[in-house]
Amino acid sequence: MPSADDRYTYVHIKNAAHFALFAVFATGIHALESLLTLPVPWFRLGLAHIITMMLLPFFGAKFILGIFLVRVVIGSAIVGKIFSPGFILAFGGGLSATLAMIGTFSLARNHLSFWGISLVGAWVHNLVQVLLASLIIQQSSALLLLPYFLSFALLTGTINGLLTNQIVYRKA
Amino acid sequence: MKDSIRMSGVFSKEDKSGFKKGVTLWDWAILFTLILLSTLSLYAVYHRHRRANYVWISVEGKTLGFYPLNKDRVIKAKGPIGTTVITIHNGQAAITAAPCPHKFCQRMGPIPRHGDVMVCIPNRIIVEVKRRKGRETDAISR
Repeated sequence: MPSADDRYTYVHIKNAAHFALFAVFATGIHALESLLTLPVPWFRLGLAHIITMMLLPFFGAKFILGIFLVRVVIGSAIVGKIFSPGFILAFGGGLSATLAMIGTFSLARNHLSFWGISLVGAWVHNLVQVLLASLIIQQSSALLLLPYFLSFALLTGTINGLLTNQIVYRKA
Repeated sequence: MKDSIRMSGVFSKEDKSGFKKGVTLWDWAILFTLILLSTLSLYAVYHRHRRANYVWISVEGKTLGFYPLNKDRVIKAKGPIGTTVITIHNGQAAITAAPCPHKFCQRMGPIPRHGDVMVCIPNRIIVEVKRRKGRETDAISR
């Protein structure tokens, strides 16, 4: 049996290992997804959010936000889009989506499946992204894209949410 | 350990974290709420962009001027092949006479909405209506 002190260290090491593992997963998915071409530029499925959602029942907000920060910075650096205007959009959108999903989960974990959480996350992500874009280019005509992005968010949110439902609760 | 107790529930039949396993009614409620909000955003965005207050006229790449759309007036713009007449009427701008052969620019108007443009390429004239005074910037991001 490990003593109290040993257990403390053990928990810390376990946390660090978990963090590294999931950070690598999320970064890899984030980077690989940019190889996936979609018919319309700027549209992404946001598959890395699947990792975020899978962590929600098991880890706290700090851990999940940490995973998000690591994956968006390192993932963008690998793809070569860091410090581009697109990075600001990805960062702002992803941060707000992560916060929204953490909030939704803690408020309504007894009522929702991953589908609902994913919908909220995707919607908030696209909303914040378009608002940021119109701020960056100093022109409100970027807001004209808002309805398209928000409808697309419902589609990607559904894809991600049902995938996560399957991944986490699949009968082996 | 606290987290191992929490994790053990998830893969058994009873989810001890209280988290639902399948799609619930609340998921559908969220979906329909968001569909409603997306539709509302369509209305809000396009309604907001319907109003233009100024017309900006450019001749050969140089700004001829900004004119408010709430006063009816006739503007004559001298280009390389003649004079194009721009008429402001009823909060809209239109090209009413043009020296060019095809008169595409006349058929493009009248334009009421922010961001709408009429262009006469032979006479090198751009007419754009805007919500407020200012130069238009273009941005490409990827």
